[in-house]
Amino acid sequence: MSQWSNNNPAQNQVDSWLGYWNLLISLVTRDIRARYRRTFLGPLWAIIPSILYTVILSFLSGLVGASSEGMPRLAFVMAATVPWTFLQSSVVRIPHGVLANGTILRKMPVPRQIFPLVVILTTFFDFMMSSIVLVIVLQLFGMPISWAWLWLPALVGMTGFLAWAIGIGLSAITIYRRDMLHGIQYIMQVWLFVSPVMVSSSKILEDWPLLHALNPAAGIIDGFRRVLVYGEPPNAEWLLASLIMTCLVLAVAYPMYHVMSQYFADVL
Amino acid sequence: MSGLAIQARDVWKRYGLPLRPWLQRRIDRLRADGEGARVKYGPWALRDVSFEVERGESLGIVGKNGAGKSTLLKLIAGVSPLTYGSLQVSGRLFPMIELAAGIHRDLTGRENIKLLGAIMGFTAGQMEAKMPEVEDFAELGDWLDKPVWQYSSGMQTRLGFSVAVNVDADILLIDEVLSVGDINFQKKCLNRMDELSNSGVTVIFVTHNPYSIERICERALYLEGGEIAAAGSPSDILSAYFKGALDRSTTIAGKDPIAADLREGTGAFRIMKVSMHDAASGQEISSFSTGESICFRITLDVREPTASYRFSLRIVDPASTVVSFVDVPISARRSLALAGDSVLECRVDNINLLPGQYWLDLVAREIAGPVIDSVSYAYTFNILGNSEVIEQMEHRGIVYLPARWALRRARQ
Repeated sequence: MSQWSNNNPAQNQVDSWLGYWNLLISLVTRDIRARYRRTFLGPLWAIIPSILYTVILSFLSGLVGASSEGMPRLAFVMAATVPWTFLQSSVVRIPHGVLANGTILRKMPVPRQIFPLVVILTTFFDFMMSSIVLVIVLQLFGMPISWAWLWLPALVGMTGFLAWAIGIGLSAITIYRRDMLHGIQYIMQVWLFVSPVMVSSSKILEDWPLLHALNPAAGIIDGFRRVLVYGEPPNAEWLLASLIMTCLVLAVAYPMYHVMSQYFADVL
Repeated sequence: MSGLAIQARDVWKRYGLPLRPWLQRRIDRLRADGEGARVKYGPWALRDVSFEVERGESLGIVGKNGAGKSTLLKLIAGVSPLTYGSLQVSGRLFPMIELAAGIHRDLTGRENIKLLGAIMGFTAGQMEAKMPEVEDFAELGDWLDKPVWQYSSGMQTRLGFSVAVNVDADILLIDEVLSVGDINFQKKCLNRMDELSNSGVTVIFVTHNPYSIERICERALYLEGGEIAAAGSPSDILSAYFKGALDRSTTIAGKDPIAADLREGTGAFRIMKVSMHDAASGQEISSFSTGESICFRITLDVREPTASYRFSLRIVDPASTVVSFVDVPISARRSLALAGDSVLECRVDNINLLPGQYWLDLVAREIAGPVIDSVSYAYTFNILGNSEVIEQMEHRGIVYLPARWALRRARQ
């Protein structure tokens, strides 16, 4: 009689893969459609952040006299900024996304894992739009499409994976205490400056080698730059370090989200 | 269809994140006061709730605010985990709580219908097939292609409700949704719910409006402080519910006169006291039987001369329905003759109300002018049944109709 029961009694209505997929697609379509519907510039907002970031960071990079290793500065910075924007906006938006769907969470036993995924896919749409601009810019600077580009799906996947791992951890905390909702933007700013976005990986490696090794974004962002700007494969060691760090984050974040998400309806 | 749709056994619910099970067990062992510990380490939203609902049955749940009604629905809906006990639900469930859940204000009505369908687990194709029915029920016409932020709140509810009642579910959870929408839409919803209920759908209905329990449900629970205080037929539960609601009575009789000055109105006079008297003997009474004649005596403190005004008296039942309304015009000639303590009497003959508790609302308003004084729930009284038959009708309706029945073979 005093058995511990954490089970949600109602059967999950979205129990089949088809239902899950359908819900995922519906929510993503909703968010993409609705996001820019009442704006003047419309879907242009999907690419504006990346472009603005590129301009600002290129300017800063020139100002502090950071080396672009002999490459055109704009292309050098943009190749890292576009994936970074994908990572950053996913991480920042995931907790908001979970909160915004609070009414659904309080009503239907939908799988709680779906909401962070929806945010990542929505941001992925923005990323794809920005990527088109990026490819055009790279062509303008005469950087050809090479075999190394085959690495891109893996790199994009790792970026999404990292964003997801951090995002679910943040959401689990945010549902109970809203601090990270406000704080995360500033943390992301700091993270940006210690990642090889504005400056090269070798520069960071020189100044803070440990930080470079522990930074889960370092290997991935550097990988993007190597592939896109130099047409080389990513540094396998650094990429592996990123992957291991991501898995460590996930090892903490996933169980936390899994347990806490059951109680979202109680506190939302 | 037979068998149980919902089976709840010793369900306890405490809000907040629980400790890990092994840690909780260890703490329980340390506290070592067994069952007593549970009661102590609350606060509990639900305590030891057990009930069963058969397939196709409709169960009503009533209770005051904070009694645990919505918590219970959340547990049944499976969005919130229970702390102890077990709760089994079988069948496809549709919670009609938060009807607007998932509606995006920047999308059109039609886009939102598809989205709501997806949230319920339907594929795009299935929703496409249901679309005509849903559109038909919503009666939103061209509005369906406009973004929802332009809708009135009633229209938003219609959108949510139309999807809700047109999807196939075995169990419907309904929470107060009928309190919105205009009267025609409410009727339509009630009819649709009757239909669903007759077609074998299990209905769990939570409400503040006690009369709708009687109308829709076969059985009811009365929750109080997270516990089941009573379970049984709707009429039994209704009388339990009204007895629980009695503490709401606030009569001005014996109240501080200063409170009278704080009330709104011009204050040319103030209602100081209300009492009820037997029409024949003039003796003060607090209850009477259906069909008797009584007299309300209202004591006024007249402070300034007043022009002609209208004094009205409303009889209100526990669900705040106005049962009856009487008023009287008072000419300037009569009112100007008054000063200081005055008495207004209102005699009502043969009050044909069913047994139960009722309240009086009093309002005095100058003819085509401002309110002089008004008191809501100024006085409360009980009507008793003068026979066993009438006694049983307590709060099962409002008006007593003396009826005569006949049953015979029709002549050819």
